[in-house]
Amino acid sequence: MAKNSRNVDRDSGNKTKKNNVIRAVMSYESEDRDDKIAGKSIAVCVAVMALLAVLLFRFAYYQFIKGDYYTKKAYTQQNSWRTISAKRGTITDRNGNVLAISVSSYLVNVNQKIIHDNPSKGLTVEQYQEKIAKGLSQYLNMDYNLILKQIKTEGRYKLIAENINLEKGEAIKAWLKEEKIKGVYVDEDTTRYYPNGNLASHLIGFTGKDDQGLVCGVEVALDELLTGTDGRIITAVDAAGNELPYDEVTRLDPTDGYNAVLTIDATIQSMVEKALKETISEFNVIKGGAIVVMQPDTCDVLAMASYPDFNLNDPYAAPPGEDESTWIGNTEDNVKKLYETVWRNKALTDTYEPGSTFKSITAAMGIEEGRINKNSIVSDAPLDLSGWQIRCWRKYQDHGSETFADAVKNSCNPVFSKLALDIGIDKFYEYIEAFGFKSKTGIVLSGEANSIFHTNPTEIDMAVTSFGQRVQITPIQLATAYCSIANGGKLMKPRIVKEITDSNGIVVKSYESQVVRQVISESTSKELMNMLEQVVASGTGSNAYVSGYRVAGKTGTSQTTTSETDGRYIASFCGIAPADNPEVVILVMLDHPAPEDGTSASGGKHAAPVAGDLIEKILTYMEIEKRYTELDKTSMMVKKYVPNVSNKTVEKAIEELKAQGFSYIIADADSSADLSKLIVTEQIPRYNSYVMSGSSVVLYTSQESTRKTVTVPNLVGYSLAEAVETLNNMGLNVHANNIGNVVSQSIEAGTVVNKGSVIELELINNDTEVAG
Amino acid sequence: MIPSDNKERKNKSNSMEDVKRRVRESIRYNQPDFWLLLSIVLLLGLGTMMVFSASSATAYASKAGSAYAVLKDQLLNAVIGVVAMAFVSFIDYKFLAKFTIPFFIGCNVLLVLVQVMGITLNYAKRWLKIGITFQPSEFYKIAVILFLAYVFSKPGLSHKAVRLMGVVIYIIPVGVGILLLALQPHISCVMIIGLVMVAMMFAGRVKLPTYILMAAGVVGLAAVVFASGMVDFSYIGERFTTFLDPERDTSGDSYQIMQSLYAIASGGLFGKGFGQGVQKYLYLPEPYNDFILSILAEELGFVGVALVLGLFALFIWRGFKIARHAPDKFSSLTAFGITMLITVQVLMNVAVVTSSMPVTGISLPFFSYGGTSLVILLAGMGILLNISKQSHYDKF
Repeated sequence: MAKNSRNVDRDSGNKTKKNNVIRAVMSYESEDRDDKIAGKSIAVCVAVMALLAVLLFRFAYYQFIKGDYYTKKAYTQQNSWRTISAKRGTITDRNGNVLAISVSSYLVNVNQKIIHDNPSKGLTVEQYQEKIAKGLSQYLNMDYNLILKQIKTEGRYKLIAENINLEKGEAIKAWLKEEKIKGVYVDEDTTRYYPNGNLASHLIGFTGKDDQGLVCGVEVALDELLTGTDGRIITAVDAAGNELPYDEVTRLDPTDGYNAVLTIDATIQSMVEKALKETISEFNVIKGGAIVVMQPDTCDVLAMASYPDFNLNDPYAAPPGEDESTWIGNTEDNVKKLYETVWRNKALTDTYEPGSTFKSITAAMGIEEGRINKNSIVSDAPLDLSGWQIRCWRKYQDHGSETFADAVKNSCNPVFSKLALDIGIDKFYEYIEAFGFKSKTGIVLSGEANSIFHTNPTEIDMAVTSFGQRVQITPIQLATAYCSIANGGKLMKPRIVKEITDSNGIVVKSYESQVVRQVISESTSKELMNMLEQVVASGTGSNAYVSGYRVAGKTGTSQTTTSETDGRYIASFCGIAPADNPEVVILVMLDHPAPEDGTSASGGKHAAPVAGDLIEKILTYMEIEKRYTELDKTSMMVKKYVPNVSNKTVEKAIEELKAQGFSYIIADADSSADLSKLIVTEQIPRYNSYVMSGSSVVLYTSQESTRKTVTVPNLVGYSLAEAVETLNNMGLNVHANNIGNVVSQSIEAGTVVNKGSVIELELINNDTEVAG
Repeated sequence: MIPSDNKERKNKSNSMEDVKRRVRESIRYNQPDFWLLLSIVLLLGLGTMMVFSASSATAYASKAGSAYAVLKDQLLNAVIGVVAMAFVSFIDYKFLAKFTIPFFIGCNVLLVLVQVMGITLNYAKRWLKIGITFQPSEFYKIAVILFLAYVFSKPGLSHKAVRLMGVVIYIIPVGVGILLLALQPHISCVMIIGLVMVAMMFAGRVKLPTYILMAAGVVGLAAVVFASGMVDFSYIGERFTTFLDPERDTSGDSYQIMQSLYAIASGGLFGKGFGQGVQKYLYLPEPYNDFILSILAEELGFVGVALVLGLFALFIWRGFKIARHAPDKFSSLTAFGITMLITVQVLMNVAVVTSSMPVTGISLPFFSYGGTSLVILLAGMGILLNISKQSHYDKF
């Protein structure tokens, strides 16, 4: 241990080197144990290493086991993101016509903090903010002070404007780049656009600020499917909100929403809406109305119109009757008003007293239960029940004894009350439930209301319910029930959404027609259809008669007597056509018609004509072949002389033509012209022409007007019906000598003639049987 | 290395083997411990890099000064520190031992001066400006280590005497300094010195009754200070509650520790890459100081952390080895004390950033930005190196 001698051992003090060596050697063991710290330091070292290992595991714990959890949290605080809106799905009708579509647009937002912290060189913060506000106000055509105020608020995000078209957006982008402005962002967005404005407004509904379905319609009902998933633009920021000096901006692309294909037909919907609007103005219907058109076999809704309606592109506009100058639109009061008026889908959200249209239901029960058939003799005598008397509408001259079919035709109340009593309360209400009147139909639209029936019905309650009084149902419930009458007794779930497709057009969800239950037998359905056809052919519903199509239906006129709406009449008609092979069920509901001529509201007078009109238009559009009955054909043979309307005002001329059963076409005046001032200068066909009843007369108001001409087609071989339809569609009139098939025509095919000209047809009737 | 030690002990005969070995050892004599030096150099290099990465973010965010300002300062201190380390490593520790008592007294005087004319920052009076601004507590740490090593190895002071009179000889003198530190307040420094002192007492074979006596004294003193209301200790309680449930109030008391955990977790296995961290952007307060290891964990991942802890383990192992093989008791205890000083600070700092103990302001040796403290730390390393130079063992 010679080396140890070099260590100066303090204990050995100033002794000689030799002594040191000896001492050191002698004390080596004891020194090692006592004066040095070998053993202790190893113990401490091991303990320290163990602690270091534990601490390394702490890192592993946070980096691996809790890694995701904390990384997510860190990510959330370290990044600020702006949303890229997902494109909301398109809504189309059954034929692919677009009803609602999202178009790309831009929105402008600002990060006030970044603007505040990064003013351009040479500008104070205020000047910089003012410069941005000025620029944006010019591009966006917005109030400068408003934008400046937004920019000066505290925070890191403020939306300045949205729904900016692409051109404007690009211009702003270019400006920002040129001026090297930081903190103003022009981000992709989508704007919902409804190409048809008011069309099917209640069915489609509209989206709100955040593209969420609002208020009503499939935009609400299918919101989740239509919405899609928003994308994001992510930027790393420091704790003060400034963007970090990394270039990476993460972009997560949005996923577009699914598309919805509706069962409605835009053409039918527009016919229906037009007809409803016209009827409402013609008969001064005060509380609006609704029309539902359904396909009985599938219970598809082909059209559903409610009036008043609104423009989907401007849903917050003032409803009719409100002062536009004081209207704001999105205030609580205004929105409430909108909900009560234009946004309300009267076919779905409003209940009403169905009146006599409900008699079909009672009749169906009676037939199904075998209590009655169309030939049963019934009495229309007043019914006394619990101190009330139920009488026929023809109060002082009731229909006496009649067949049940006639009672349906004549709409005799006591007959139905008696039938209901015969069926019995339990059974009666079982049927009400079976027809779906006690529950919502389950149509995929939001805001459907439920019916109101007496809770513990007495006999008198049931007696009035049998003819549709003192109960409240929704139009969609009645139309659905009529579908079951029309389709052989199957109550179905009304369908408004046909299918959901993805952005590639692949069907991702299909809504099949659903049969809820068989309510009545097919034979009951047939028998009832026969009776309902008679209602239109020669009963209260005769105004819905359409030549060429067999129409079944029932009118309804009800007086609503609930306290707050006392004295309000509802005129309705529910029809099915063609009766022998039903294609459409149509319900027209007019809420309180008050015609200026003072006639009282009536389903037959006010609702049936528009229903008939629509049935003809819709079935023609659907290319359902017209099959003229003997009656129709005979009426075609009725000929009339055209009256002289020349030199009279157009208004007067129309009145006269209408009165004599002619229709008219004004050839050269636009719709805005004042018809009471214009004078008819010429009419085609001329005065005293002998033509078929229902022919149209073309009126000219100026000698100079170019005559509207058409080329005469070849009609040889056509049936009378076909020939009449072809010529009427072209604006030509017919004079036929017979029914059957055309063998010759008075004006040769290819000749150019004036509209309104009369073509004389010679026909030969080969049929031995008369169609019917 | 241990086997070679054993050989050294066993072979006392003058065999040829023995002679060869002695020749080899004589060559190694006067050489510093290679692994210790390597670990110091690597830790210092890595630490300076991290200070650059972490401080550049703050410089960027504040938009004031250059991104290199802090780095420059740290580099300067590192260079001065390395020079100081080299210089001290050439000074015989025995020479230093002679100045132990004056140095210890001088440091106490400085601590008193802090109370009198110290600079207050962040509610604590810790700094002194005499030409340069520095924390006397940094010197005091070294002074205590030298003082205790001196006391425990003092000839003439038998173990028995030290044991019996320990209270008077070293506990009260060190206690005075600790009390002065507590008044600043500088609780973390008190903890470090306390732990190092206990470790040195343990290595110096102080028996149980003394610890009990000391513990009683500390409790009593703490009670007096607490009762006097001279220092507000309420924050200690808050730190404990936030430690137990850091997610309770992530924006308030536990903000810092949560930000540290976010940084660590975002690092994953390999980290985001040097300079790519985000947490240093104003999220994590003092990213280039007490929480620099969190930033390292974020940028270099688990691998980076393992490397750093591995380097510290290497350092500590070599430090204890030097202590074990030191020529005499004074040097042995001094080496042990200096190693313990680093060890305690590393363990506490790592424990804080991983939320393994309540937050206290303890910097990470060689990493944290700290001006003069880095110089003093490296000078301390010089002492350690000098002791290793004068020892006989396998240094490579």
